[in-house]
Amino acid sequence: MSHPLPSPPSTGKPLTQRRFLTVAGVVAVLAGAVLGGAGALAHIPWLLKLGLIAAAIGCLWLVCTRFQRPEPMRAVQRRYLREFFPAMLAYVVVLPLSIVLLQRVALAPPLRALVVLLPVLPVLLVVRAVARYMRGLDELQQRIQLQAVSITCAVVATGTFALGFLQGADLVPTVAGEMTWVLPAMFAVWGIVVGIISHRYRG
Amino acid sequence: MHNHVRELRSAQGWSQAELAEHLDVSRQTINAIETGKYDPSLPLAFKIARLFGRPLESIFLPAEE
Repeated sequence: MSHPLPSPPSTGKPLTQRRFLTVAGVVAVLAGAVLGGAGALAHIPWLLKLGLIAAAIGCLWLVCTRFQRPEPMRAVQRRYLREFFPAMLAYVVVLPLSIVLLQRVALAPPLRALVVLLPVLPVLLVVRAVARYMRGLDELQQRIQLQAVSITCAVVATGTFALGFLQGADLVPTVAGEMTWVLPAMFAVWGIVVGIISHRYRG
Repeated sequence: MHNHVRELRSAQGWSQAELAEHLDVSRQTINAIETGKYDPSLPLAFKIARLFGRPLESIFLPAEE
């Protein structure tokens, strides 16, 4: 047996996933309540919807804290959060700006397309954050993510494929902007599948 | 594959999180290796062997042995 090696230096009270998710969940629920309340009072449907989505995501994060171990986050996770949340904040700011501009200002088609696509820019930053996160994971986590992403793509692709058939047969109505739900659906399914696959590797 | 990672870690008095930090992997990965749910790659196995100062074959054993 080798001689005992020194323990890694302690860095004080570390930031844990559970603590971070708790704070983020409470902030999202409060922000959702404020936005939703403002939307309801001012009769602005999209603001109400945005508030409800934010509150629902916050509740989901708070539920997730129940399944998180209070262990320190790795550097790759901290970097992901540093990149993901500012991008999402930018999205939450840019989306209403884009909607208001489109509603109140008459724009020429090329400029209108540019304003419509403005909220995609912060989403590209989210994609960058996710890609960097995946590259920074260790080998088991990358294996889990590979399985999860593969299953997510298969589930969402099959679901939207089936939905397309149903819409083609006029059994399900076509809703304006329905394609924008594919990305959130992928994130939602991904989150669930990662949880299930990770559970299989627990002792 | 069987392994003696848990025993070696305990002998050092480390938690799974501490060993994970030494190896620059997640605690989840250490737990999966110790419980036999995941066999590490050769580079990670060599890193574990080097950390504990033992030959690879004394830590990782084929399942039939």
